[in-house]
Amino acid sequence: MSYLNLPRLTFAGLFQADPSTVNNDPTHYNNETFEPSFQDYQSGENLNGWWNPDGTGNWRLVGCKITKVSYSDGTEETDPTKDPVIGLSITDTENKTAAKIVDLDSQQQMVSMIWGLIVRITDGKKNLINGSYKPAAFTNIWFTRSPDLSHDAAAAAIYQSVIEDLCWDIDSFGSRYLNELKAASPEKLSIQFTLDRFNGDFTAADFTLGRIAGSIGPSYESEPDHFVIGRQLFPQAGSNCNYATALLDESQKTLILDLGNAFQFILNKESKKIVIADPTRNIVAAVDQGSSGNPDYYYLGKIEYTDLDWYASSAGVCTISLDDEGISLVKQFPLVLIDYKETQENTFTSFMTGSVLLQEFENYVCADQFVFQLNPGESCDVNLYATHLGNLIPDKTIELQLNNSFFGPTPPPVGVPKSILSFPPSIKTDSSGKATFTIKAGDPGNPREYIDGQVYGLAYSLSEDYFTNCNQSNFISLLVYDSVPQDKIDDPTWKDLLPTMQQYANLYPLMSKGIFNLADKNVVDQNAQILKLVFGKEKTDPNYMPATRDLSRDKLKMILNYLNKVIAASDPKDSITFKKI
Amino acid sequence: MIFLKKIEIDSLEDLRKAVQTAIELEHSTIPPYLTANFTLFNTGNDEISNLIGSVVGEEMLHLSISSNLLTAIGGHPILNKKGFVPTYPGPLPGGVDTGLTVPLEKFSKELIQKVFMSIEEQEDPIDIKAMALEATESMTIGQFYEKIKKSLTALETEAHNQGKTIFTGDPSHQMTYEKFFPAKLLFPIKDLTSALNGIDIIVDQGEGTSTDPFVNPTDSTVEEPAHYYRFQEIVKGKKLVSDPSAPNKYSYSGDPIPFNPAKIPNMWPNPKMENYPPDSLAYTNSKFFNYNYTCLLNSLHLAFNGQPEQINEAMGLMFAIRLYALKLLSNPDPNHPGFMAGPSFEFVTDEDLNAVEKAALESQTS
Repeated sequence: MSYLNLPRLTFAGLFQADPSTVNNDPTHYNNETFEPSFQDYQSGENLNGWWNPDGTGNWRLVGCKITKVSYSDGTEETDPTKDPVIGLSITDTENKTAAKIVDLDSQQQMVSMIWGLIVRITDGKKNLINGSYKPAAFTNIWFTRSPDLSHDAAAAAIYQSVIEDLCWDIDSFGSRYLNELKAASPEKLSIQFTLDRFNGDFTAADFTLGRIAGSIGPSYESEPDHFVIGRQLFPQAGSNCNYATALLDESQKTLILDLGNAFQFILNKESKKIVIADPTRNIVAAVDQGSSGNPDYYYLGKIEYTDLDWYASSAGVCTISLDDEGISLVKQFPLVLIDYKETQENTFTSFMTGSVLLQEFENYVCADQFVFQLNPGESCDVNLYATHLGNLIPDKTIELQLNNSFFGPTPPPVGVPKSILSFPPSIKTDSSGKATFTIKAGDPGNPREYIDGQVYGLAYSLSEDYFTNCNQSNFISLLVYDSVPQDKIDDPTWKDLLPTMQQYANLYPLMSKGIFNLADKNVVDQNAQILKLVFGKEKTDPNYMPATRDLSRDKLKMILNYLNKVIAASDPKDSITFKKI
Repeated sequence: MIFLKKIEIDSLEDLRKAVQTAIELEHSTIPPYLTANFTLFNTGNDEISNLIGSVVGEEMLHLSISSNLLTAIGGHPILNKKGFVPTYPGPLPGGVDTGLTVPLEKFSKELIQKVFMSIEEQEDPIDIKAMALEATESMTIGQFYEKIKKSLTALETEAHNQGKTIFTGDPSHQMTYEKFFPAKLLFPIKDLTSALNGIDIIVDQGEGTSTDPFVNPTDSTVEEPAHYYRFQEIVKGKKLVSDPSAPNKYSYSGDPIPFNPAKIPNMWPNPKMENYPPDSLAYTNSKFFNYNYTCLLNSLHLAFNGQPEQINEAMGLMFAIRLYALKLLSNPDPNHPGFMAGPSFEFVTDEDLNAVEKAALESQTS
């Protein structure tokens, strides 16, 4: 069960992403060559500190509203007088700092994670639902989502995760939807959203804001947290589309398609509304009963995607009713999305034809969590799921290989030395269709010199397939940190800390200029208590320092030991903490 | 000098109300002090900034002491309601209408002298002639705390005689934070002695004693003058030092406290989020500032209502509002050419935000 199952709610609004961008250029990590101008906004051809050197790292939900609910029986409601949950806010924290948006690494910026997000549904008086978003990386990014825009603004990507540690306070609220949701999934909820039309122009009023639309639904322990075991639809060349997921719900006799990240949007300059870029397409879901090269389509239903409020009120999730024959065919044959046109062959006959926009990838394999950070000697378990037409398949061989082709820019070099990672060359799924393998990390030995550790990519594919045919968004990204000599960890001096502290001061000017200049020994010593507090927090805490969550285990220990030493020597009450607020 | 509305305390319930007013009063000075201090950032006025910052830190301590006191006597501090935050410019909570109007303004010596020193002025400051006599309808802050002390003593004595106590609060709800406030300044309030001790710290740090402008060493970790005199140091441009030749044995003849106004952002006074056009950066940053400020009040509310560990979240939020204030002070005020935007310290709810944002949201999401 996931957000594509029932009961499901839809929400839409804005998001804020406010990362600092000085670290977007890997060479800015080099303290030797760092220039003060790298902390300035880009100007003309000069990139300086890119588009947001003063970024806070914050990630927020802004003005998000519940637009629709779909009940367990398949009926839908958009009228707040019928179900009071409609129109309510989905928002983030009310008593913590904002969540943080964090790149894995300067050379892997395509899996940015959200950390420390609280998700609440509130009526303004109390929290009906309050829970913690499990940190997740984005996937399925494409840079042609909004062809009227450029750079990041033109891009879209999705996040899928779960909301845990749920607190419910719905008993007196009288929402049929919330009652059904709690009954179906009291411990954990599935949440998915698409982000697009992000404004990275620092002179614009909506700078750091973008559009968000998504869904929340039930979640079960046995399911992966970050993708749906379902039907995986791949965009076809020239279709101007992107990946989509579908699910056959036999009990409801429906096919549910998530097309939230599949189609292009543009701003209509006259109406000032954001609309589907090509509304002339007659998009139809079908199964292809034919053999390779000879398609034989059985049409399941039309996708009604051109209404102005389609996206906000559905987040792109479409439901098609199926009859028994339809269900039977969907179970047997791959799905397609077709731009379906009637073509006149001659005066007397016409026939139906269509160009394929999205085609199901029949045999699919996907990792659940696909971004990891490891220290020397640590290992992580990766869970992979293999499916055929959405059904888990046992005893399927999956091949694994290093692939660093997605990382960059370089220098410094990426993916070397290769020998420090150990993992099996191939694995087989168990009887349930799941395969778990372990990646163990050694010590990269500082191959990037001025950037700690190394990034590695691990591609996977079913043995009969090539990785290049797969959805390449979900390959495994690893950041493996360097080690620090034990004597420096145990008894650190300021000199040992300085290169790391100088780097943070350089790369996060808002912090270094606005609060603590970490490169200044006096500032660090005088604020040892507060720094110990924030460096000592869990990574999932939004107050964790460094906000970029790119500090190795050894360096963190070294810093904490240094701070403890300062505190033990003088037991200073932080003399300037409050003066700095 | 601030005059509060005269209050009568005849019952424990009255006392709780008075302590809630104390909490509101202690909080209400923080936004104006912080605003002035934010405008000193990176202007080469660190010494002045540190003086204001040290006062802000102590106002936070006073807020904490008052909240612990209210919890101790079985009350529930309320910090997360719209009315908790005063409207700026305006009177401080509990103040008489004819009293002082407190604004959110950029730093100036005039602001320090006319407003901040008035807020902190005691009944009979050394070197300054006695001010108005006790009015029948008003009282000074010193008198206000004196009244609370007397009532605490009277009510506890009365309870004690009946074999009871007014200190019925859950001791685990007391918020202490030894990493930042020494235990001798912020301690659990559990009985009359600790309650009176706490109030003495508030009054002494704020006013000093009638003969010594410096804070009693037992109420401080460093030798420093009371708030009124710290502000006067800024105005005079010199540190207050003991001076045997001066009539009151103290004079502003110590090290200079330089002031350089050149780089102070020209913030338009008393900003309001709703006054900024919704399609301006000033509006966006004002909204995020107020989001964080509201979260801060929510986290403090929890910290003083049974979840003392929430103070760690509050610490993070204090830094967050600073960052957004600095962003605002670098955004031009769209309504006032030549001026910069600034923090407005407004308690916001989702409903507030929706009304203003509707237009922007509609074009983005429909």
